[in-house]
Amino acid sequence: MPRTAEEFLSPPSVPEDCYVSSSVYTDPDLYAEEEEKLLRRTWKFVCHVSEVPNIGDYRTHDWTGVPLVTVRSPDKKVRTFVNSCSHRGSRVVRYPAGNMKHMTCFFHLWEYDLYGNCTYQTRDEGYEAHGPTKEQAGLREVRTDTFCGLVFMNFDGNAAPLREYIGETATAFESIFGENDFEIFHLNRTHMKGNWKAWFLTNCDFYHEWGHQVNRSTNLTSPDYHDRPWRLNHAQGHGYTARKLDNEPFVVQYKNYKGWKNRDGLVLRGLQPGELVLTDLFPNTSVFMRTTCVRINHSTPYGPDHTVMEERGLGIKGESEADRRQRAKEFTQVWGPYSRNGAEDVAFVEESHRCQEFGANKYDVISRNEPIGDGLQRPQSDAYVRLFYDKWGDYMGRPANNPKNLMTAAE
Amino acid sequence: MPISDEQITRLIYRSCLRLDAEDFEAYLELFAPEFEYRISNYSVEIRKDQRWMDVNQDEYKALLESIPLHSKPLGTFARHANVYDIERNGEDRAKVTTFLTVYYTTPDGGTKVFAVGKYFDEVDISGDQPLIADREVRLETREVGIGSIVPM
Ligand code: FES
Ligand SMILES: [Fe+2]
Repeated sequence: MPRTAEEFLSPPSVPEDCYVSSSVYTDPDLYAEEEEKLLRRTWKFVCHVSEVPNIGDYRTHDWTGVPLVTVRSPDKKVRTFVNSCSHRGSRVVRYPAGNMKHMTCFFHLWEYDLYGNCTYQTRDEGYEAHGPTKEQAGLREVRTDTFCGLVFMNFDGNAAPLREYIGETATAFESIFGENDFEIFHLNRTHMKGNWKAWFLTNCDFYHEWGHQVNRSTNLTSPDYHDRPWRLNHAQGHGYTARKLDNEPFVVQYKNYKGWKNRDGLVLRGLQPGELVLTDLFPNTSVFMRTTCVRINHSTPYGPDHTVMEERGLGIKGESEADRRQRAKEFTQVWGPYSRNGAEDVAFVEESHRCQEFGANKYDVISRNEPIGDGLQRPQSDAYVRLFYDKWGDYMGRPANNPKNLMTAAE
Repeated sequence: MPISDEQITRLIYRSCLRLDAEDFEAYLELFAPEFEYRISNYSVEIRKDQRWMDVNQDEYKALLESIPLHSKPLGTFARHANVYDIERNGEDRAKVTTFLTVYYTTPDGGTKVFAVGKYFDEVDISGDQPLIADREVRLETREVGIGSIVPM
């Protein structure tokens, strides 16, 4: 039965944690608050260590509108700085990646070393009277740490350490990352008109596999597809799916997609042929392992409706060219801009956003419940999405189903 | 009669027209047996060459046949090619460099540049008709928005 206007505007008749107000995807004030209360207080994925293997190697990136540069300093530690000159604010390092001896600002040529110290001020006698001295003009360093070769940063000096933040979810990938010496071979970026949470939650919503021809033929046909529980980390808001309850691997039937073969060769250490492991780290980093390759997915929001998704592929350092080629080939079957799934995922997010943007869709329904026993939920349950919004509510001090209700928010 | 430059040029342009029309069967007739097809670029971010598609003849054929099963972008792609150079390599092979612009037109009729790059083709000129024996689509554009289920 079609709904009346009143029904349409009322929250869906499901429990309170089973729906979300679409304003969380579109409201500029909520987005500004997210930057302040959530995105600047959680660990943000920066890059894989193999992107900055040598002293002086750097990557530039942005977070909550702040330009950043991550560099390997001479003591081999990876550091991050706010990439804005202490003089008149120009971006100091302006290229996406490279190697540098020091950082020279192109505006008036102030210079910084790879520890963020200001080492040169052009005609510095002009600062003798009023300052600032070089000692007062270093770059702002941002807390940076590495786990399993994944570099993260956090603006919040008081946040829990990275290892503690990842918590028990490390079980899903720590041993695999320990046994394989990974190296990056693929990176693509996509600007999308959609919200960063919608992108991340598409990665966490296995129900959307019905939307992909690849998944319909290779995953959903596996007899044990529904036997993998979500492992939820309630304290931190992460989740993963890996082995089934009987600890057997979940095996994807790649051969069921026309033109593909099962993944029996080049299997990463710690995985079984065909095995799939998916990890989602709050608030927006996913680490996926599809037998022969690893995908790291992360996004950078530039507002409620502008998200830059960044996708990386990892192979084995030092492997032969033929092996690398095969691994990259398998990676780009499923992931990347010309893959079978990549374009479909972006379209999912953009189409939903189009309806949420001007209020044509008021609520996002996240009520799927598929118990598997032991209090666990099957992959196509929305249990993780509900956990995500529970955590979101904790950081924001507002419930995601009614975030603009000031009365509720004040409590 | 040896294959002329004009025949080679027409081969490249036909590959664009047939892909635009999504007439995949006729498009595949332009390729030699055992061909390979790749989409590649240089990533400024990771400072490495990378391949975004890498398929042999059978894989490419299967991929094209499966396109109707996918949720491909709702609009249409149009390719504009300019053959820049044809270099003959003996009697049997020619290397062809073609500048490529791909436009995307939404179902509402708006058009924008989707990608620019080059075709680097190896053309088999040993028979009556020239055939593409190897195609590398080398992209300048690395940010392709929603991406594409259909190759370039
Ligand atoms: S703004 Fe950097 S030297 Fe002036
Ligand atoms: Fe997907």
